[in-house]
Amino acid sequence: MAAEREPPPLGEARPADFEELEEGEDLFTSTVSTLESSPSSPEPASLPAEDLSTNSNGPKPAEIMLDDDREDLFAEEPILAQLVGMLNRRGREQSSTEATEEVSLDSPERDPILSPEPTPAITPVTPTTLVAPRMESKSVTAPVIFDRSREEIEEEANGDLFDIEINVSDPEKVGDGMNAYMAYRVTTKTSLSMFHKNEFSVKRRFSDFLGLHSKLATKYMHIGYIVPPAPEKSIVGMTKVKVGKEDSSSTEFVEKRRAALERYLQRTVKHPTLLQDPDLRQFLESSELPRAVNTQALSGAGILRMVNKAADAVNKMTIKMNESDAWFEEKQQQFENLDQQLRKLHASVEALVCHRKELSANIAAFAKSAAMLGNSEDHTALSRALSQLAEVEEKIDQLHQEQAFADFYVFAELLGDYIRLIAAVKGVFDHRMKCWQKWQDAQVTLQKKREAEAKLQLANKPDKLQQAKDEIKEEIEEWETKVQQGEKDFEQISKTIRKEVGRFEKERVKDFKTVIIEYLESLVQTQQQLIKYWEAFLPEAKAIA
Amino acid sequence: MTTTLTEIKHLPTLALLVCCEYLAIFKKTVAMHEVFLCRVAAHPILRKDLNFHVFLEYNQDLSVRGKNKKEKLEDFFKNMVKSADGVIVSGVKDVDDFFEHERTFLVEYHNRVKDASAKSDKMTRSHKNVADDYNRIGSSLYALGTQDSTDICKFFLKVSELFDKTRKIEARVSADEDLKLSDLLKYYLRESQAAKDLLYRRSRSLVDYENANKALDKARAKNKDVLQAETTQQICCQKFEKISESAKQELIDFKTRRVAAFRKNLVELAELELKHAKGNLQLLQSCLAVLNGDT
Repeated sequence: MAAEREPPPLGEARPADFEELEEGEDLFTSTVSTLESSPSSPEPASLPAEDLSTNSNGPKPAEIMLDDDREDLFAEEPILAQLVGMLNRRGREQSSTEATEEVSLDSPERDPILSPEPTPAITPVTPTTLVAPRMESKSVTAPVIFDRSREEIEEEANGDLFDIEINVSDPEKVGDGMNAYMAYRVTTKTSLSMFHKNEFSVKRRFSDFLGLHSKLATKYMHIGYIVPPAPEKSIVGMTKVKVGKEDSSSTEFVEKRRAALERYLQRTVKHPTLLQDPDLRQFLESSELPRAVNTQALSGAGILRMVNKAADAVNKMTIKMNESDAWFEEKQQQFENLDQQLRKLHASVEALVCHRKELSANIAAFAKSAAMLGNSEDHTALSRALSQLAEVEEKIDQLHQEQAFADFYVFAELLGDYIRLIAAVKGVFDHRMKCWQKWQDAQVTLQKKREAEAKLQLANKPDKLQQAKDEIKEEIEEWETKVQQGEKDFEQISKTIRKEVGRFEKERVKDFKTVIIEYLESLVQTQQQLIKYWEAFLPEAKAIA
Repeated sequence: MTTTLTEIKHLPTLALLVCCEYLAIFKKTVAMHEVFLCRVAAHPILRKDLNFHVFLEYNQDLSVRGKNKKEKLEDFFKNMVKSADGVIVSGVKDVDDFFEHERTFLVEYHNRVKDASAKSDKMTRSHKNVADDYNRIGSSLYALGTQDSTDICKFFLKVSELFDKTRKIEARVSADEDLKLSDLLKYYLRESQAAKDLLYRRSRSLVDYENANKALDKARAKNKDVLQAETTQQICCQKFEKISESAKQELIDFKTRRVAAFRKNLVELAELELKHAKGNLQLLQSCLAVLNGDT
């Protein structure tokens, strides 16, 4: 039985589909098609009765990715081993006995098409939640278990000293012409037991990073996790690199990108839940990675993405949510303000970078001019002093260039990162709104069904009546389930968001403090150097006689 | 963008900014005037000029009339003629080594001072732009600090304060560079032009003298108007010798003054740059001490 019930979209037998599916929007259509084609699709409805009874509201085990490599991996993790044992013990007939952190692809958002099945769960990431609902009676204790398991995982991580260090280095151009790309070396140093080795490195290209982010976002954003955004694409920048311009602007671009990719990965692994994700692990460890073709802007998936983004924007405007929780309203307002302020600050810092570069260029020009003047000055002592002045100014120009570098990489880029992060936070709040909307819609539909049932009771066609009544009764049951699930989902996402926001704020405070102090220290260095230079010049000036 | 309360609270610093700028410009103008008057007073001939005395002593409003259009036009044409003539005259080689050397020197020096003056101006303006950016960053940080709900708000406010103070120092660096370097170069740009003009006048007079000599020879040959030619020649000769003598002195003085002025300004520039850098450093270090203590 296990083999028969092959989880449709995730089997490794379909590498092509696999990639397709990791695109959030493509999931939708592919899942449908594969489910329809799969002979076992009606199966969930015919699950053994015992499961249904405990399962009606709880999260269904996720359609789990069969990855034979991972079996051993999971066996290493104590918690996961426990779960595997527990699941096996229950003699589940589904092949989905492997506890993974894969979220069910049949996530609530895609529900409308998949409605024949009992509502699949928003399976939170950690394995324990797969088990929990079955252990408890169908209650809303899942979230509690979820919390505990999260904490357990975090403790586990802390027990491992939460020690993982990621470096992105050695950008290398691969290939020629318009098909060329930059490959970056991603080196991981860690003592965490979930990885095969303590130190390892792989080569990745930019689209691989985008692919990783896409997968993580698809899995976690709609249940309330703030997934760090990947660095932005830049057609102009990349074209220059491809074309092979070896000038300073393209090396600057590559360096900017390398630093951004490093920050992106470091932020992602800091997130305790994301760190557990197998896709992330695969990204860091596997020497070969299937190419994430659908991250290209002009691909079919890319266009679908854009269309969906537009649709989302429209939907957002039309959803009027009755916010019962003041905390969310307050937080949204706070993030809105923060966003505005950060953008202003970012613009000012970028202007500073620009002006400082200008200053540096002007100082260099002046230095040359002063040297010329010194040459034509016929008073020897003054001539020498002017040459010295030119030298000092040249050194100061270097200094300002370095300072501009710090202005940018330390300060401006952090601000840019946070502006994008806040966009992700806002996205998560939006998902909560959508979740609420879904719940509300389910309630409305349930109401309609009940009204239909009432009407039927009063109708006078006995022959068709019984069948219709049975049908409607079934539908009402189904929608009652959906309403309960919707409420549960909503509470879940709200809870997750609260936790995530708390974590985000802590990280933000830490990040800003660290970065600003680093930045101020760079300013201190500059001033100290300036003092040295002018102190050396002063006696020269005084020596003019 | 709506002006928030925090931005309004920050307005006093805007007023301060304007004040600081005005003071800087005022300082500059005053310094220039002082230099000018000192120079006139130090000059052996000019110091005796009646106009100068009136300027210094008359204790009521002088009611100086600016040049009207006609006078401005006259000046313009005079300049045109002068530069055209200057080209012609400069072709004449000078017998006197001193003046020949001076001419070569001055032409090159003048051009290079012009270049240095322009580049120095650009540099000073860039410095000012950076100072302005610090100001904007300071107010953004202030806004962040007042709106933030986490404990980072104190942090932001402290850093905002730092940027405000550091901006003032940067603005002063820019103003001092302007005063000690840009203005110096501008001044010597005009001085070297004035020296060039002096050389031109001397060359003009030399040409006149040589022409008078030629005329005298011709008159003697023809034996016609000899006396007149002799008188003209003598006047030209006297003029030439007088101007050569005073020009030599002026040019030597020019060098002395130039060296002294550069020395003074470069020393003061270095001292001010040091003072500001040390001030900045102290601000930064004390701010860092507070921030590190907090975290």
